[in-house]
Amino acid sequence: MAKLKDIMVYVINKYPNKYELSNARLTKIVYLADWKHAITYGTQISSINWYFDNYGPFVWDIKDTARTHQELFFTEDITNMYGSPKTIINLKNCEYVPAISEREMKSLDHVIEATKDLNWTQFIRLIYSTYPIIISEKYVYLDLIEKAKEYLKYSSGRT
Amino acid sequence: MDLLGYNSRCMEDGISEDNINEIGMKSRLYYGYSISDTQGKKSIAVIIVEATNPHRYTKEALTSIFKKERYLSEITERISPWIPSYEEAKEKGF
Repeated sequence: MAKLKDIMVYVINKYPNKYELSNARLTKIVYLADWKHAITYGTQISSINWYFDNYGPFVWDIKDTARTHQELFFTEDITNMYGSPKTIINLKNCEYVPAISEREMKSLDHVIEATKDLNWTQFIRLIYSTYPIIISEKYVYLDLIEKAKEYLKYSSGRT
Repeated sequence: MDLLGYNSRCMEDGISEDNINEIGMKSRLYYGYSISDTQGKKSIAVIIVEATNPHRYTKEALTSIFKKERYLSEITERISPWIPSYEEAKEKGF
């Protein structure tokens, strides 16, 4: 398991479209990486207790971490094209080397590659298409490890 | 409702007892209506109607209702970019 600040630094460093990395998008990228890691290795990368909120998996951990570690990150509060506020998370210290294992890198790289070219609608559709979200009601905590076991059992039974 | 009868009927279809117990709405009537794309070439969605009363609707009545809806294909095509797809997530490794 990696520290959230390290996961964030790794993603921001490697993500090609950095201006897209809002708190919402970065949060959901970490969710996808946790899900990918859960179905591949049976554990999450982060220690986030994921919650299914109004608009999919959401927690404040990413924004809180960015504001706690001001030596690494800085945030910009801007308005999106629809007039809604959004927070962009940027890297302040590009020299910092995040402590991420090979396996964790593999899951994170998979997510970055799979999502870098998706617009917001396509990105959100992918999030909503993941098993924990499809199968769960809103306003519950998502046990990704248990859901991964169910998913693998379910997938292996489908032809 | 005859729960034992319901369970035994579900088990005929291969549903496990654990899964039956998790079903909140014990439906006894199911109806499916396939929606094609506007070209009429492929099915893009299915509407499922369920009722706990097996006599609540007839197949003919529901078919007649859906056939009268002129814009189902157009509306479904319009919203399809937002419809989640389990298969698509699986193809992308999620």
